[in-house]
Amino acid sequence: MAARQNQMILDQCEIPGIRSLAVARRYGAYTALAKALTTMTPDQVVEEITRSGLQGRGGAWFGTGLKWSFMPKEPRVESFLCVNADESEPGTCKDRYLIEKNPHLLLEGVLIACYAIRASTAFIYVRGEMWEGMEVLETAIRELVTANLCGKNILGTGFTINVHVHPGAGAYICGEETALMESLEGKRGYPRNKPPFPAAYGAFGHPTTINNIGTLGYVPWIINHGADAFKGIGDPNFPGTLIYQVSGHVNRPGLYEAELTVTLRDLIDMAGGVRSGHRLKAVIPGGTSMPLLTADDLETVMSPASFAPRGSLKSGLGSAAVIVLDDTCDMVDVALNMMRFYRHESCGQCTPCREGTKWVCDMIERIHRRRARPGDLEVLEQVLVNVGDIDRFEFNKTICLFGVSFGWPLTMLIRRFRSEFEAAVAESTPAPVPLPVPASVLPAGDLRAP
Amino acid sequence: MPTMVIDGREVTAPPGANLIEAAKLAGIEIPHFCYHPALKVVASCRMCFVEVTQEVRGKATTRLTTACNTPAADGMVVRTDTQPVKKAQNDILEFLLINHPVDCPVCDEAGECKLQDYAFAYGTASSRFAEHKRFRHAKKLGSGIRLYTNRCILCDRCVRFLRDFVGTGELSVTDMGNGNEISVFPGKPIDNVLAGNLPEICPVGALISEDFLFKARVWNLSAVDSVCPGCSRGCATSLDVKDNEVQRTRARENQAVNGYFICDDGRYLYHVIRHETRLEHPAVREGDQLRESNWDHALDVVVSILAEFPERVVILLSPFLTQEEARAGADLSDVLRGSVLGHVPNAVQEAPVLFPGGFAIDGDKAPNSTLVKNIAPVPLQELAITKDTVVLFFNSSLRTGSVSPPDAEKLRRAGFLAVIDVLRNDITAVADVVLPGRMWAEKSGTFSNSAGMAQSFGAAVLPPPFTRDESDVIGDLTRRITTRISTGCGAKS
Repeated sequence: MAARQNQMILDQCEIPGIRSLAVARRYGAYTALAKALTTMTPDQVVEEITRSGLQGRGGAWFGTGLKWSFMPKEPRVESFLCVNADESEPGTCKDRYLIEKNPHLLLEGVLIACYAIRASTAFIYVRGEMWEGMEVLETAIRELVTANLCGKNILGTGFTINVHVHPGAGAYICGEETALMESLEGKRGYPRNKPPFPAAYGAFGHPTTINNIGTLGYVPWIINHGADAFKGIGDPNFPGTLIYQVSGHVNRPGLYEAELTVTLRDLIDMAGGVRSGHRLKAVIPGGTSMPLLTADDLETVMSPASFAPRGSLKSGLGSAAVIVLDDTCDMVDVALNMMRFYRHESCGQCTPCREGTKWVCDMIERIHRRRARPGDLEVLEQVLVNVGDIDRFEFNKTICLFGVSFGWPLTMLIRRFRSEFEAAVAESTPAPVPLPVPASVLPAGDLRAP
Repeated sequence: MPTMVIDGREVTAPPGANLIEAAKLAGIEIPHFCYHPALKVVASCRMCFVEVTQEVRGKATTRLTTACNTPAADGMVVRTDTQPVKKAQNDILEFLLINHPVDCPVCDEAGECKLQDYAFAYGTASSRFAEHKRFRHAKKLGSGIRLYTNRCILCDRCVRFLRDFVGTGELSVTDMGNGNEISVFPGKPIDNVLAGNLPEICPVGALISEDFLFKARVWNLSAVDSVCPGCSRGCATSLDVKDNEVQRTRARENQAVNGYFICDDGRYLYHVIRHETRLEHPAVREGDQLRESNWDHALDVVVSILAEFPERVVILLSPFLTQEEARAGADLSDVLRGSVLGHVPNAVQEAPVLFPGGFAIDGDKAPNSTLVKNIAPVPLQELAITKDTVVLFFNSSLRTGSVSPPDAEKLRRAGFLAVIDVLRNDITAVADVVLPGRMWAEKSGTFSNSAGMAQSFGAAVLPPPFTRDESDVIGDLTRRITTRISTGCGAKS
């Protein structure tokens, strides 16, 4: 087998009792926190993380150290750390596993990050459905406070960090960083316009850094072993490892941690290969928001380097949630399944996404029921382009990237499997064009009083 | 002051202006729904796309961006008419119209609807949409506001207005995604005195005023610039007239006074013009009864007494008079040698209100108190009124109870009381002569607001036939008195 797993993050997850502080400390937890707090200044921590080349594992691959360096050095108001654990991208399941298995690894990263960006409060925004994870985190934080590793005057260093776990209400959009902050503030989870960026105007209007919880899991390792050791792992441009979440039609779906030099073929092999008797048809490389790859793209190295913004693959690594589809999949079915998710999860703030998700979903639904009309496919493609044209790399038609999260993958799905859609249209009995809606002016008796 | 080029025209915008405002200075309209100068920018309708060319890190880059959240910057080159801009605007209109009922023939907004105007200007005539349109029930939201939910384009203006500007926040967006809907909380209807602005803020026909519902098509209305007589603030209004009747009042922009809005009290004050208690004929007391009379007779009665006892005359002005009328009243007291000039302060006083958005409502519910107090500084309570006194009271008050009970009591003591007024009230009931005047919408004039700013307004509708303009009446009185004094006619020797 060409590639092996390299477990930097997952290695301790299955140790019995690692959820408890006592066991976690036996395995070296909070040594990095002590090292950072006692021997390093915040700027040195930022410098170390910057030198390590750690990048955000949420999907954007933005330099973590660089992001931290945007925070004010002498803040006039309190700074905040927001930790994004609103893991909702279809196919993604790494954060939930890490939180439930090894909370202290993540919390140590949270505390070091707070120290580095001079934040006194961290909000861990956890997806609303992850009740167990929240309880695990709450318990772990209580243990930390008792052990004086969290709260006031940590380890006698005079440094104060409060960590709060905030449950989301189950909206996908609240994983978008600015929508997350709006939701945290108790408002509707609507993404904000940028600029201003969170480092200037974040949660509650305070300077805020927002990190994916998976990213922070690497921070203790880097502080313990040094930036150079981290930089030496895997691809120097994208150092470290990544937890690939392989799901779908493979024999052993699960989490596979590997360096970012691993190819798609290696990953599928690690997961036991495509289930027997079937051929690979397509792979979604990073959650359904990333356009899918076909069986021809198996040699793709699963690293952001392969997915250049205007590259030929027209896809992205996203959250590294690899969904494998074999030849039993009807692509119209796949499109409908994806689109129902996006129709349900659009926040409805801006026009193209609010109206586009429903329109696109309605049309795919009709094609799926074989009630398409001639020309439907062309209209469908044009509407997707109007939300965000993948060929022109256009993503500013909407406030946040939700628009292109369904516009781009659907465009590519139809383009790469067009014959299936054409066949569905060809065998359709066209649905009649519906009559206009009833007049909105109703007799007074029908008016709904508040 | 950033200087930029918009569609080939050089514009210098004030600091902090966005591209919509900057383009407006150059006379270029960038279409928009969700942007409103008085509200927080959200850039959610995505209608205001423009193409901006700007130097970024030494390289000129061109990008499509929304004008409302792009601040004007030095050296920007903005195009509002390129193919990508037009396509983006067309796309957005298509998205907005697919679930819109397009029921313009029965919609009150038709004719002043942004969606309608932009669909003509930037949209296409046909639709590719062949699915079922979204359907939502219309709702009563309270304070005379209805939501025709189907027409809503979810620009969020109403929500932001009530939340940020008014500070009451009754409206919110409920549900999610395509199901988004503007709504109030159950049992918590809209309840504030700026609610009447909502139909004006709404760029489409979703929020509709019950006061104006199905009253008129807007293209049949003629708008007359007016000033609100509702309080001493003097908000700029526009009276929309059809068939010689005011159909509605709209706010008119005046940054020095009211910004873009008016309060509901002022907005619905126009109903007083056709009120059932309106005085429409002169009346003269005969014994116990006020009898309908004609102007010539009524004025003769007044003049004969004024000219006979000029030294016993007290001329009273009310703060509802215009500047011109108050001055004419003062002139009349000069003609009547020995007469006394005073004013009757407005008794309708409420606590002033200031909203988070900066809009203010004054406590003094009369339009011209400052000026009238300047012209006639003595209030009625400092004047002696006996059974020998002849009182000529120019009231024309739009408010019931504007004369305080002690003042009213004092007026009742007068030997002779002539009142020029617009509505029947307890003063006109005891007066000896009642002369019907005209309301602000029926005459031109000037009000000086509490900040001392004089604002003129014009007549919007024709008055009831037997009423007369107050200045005209005062002029006529003056003429008749001077004639009588100079000829000695009727004067006691």
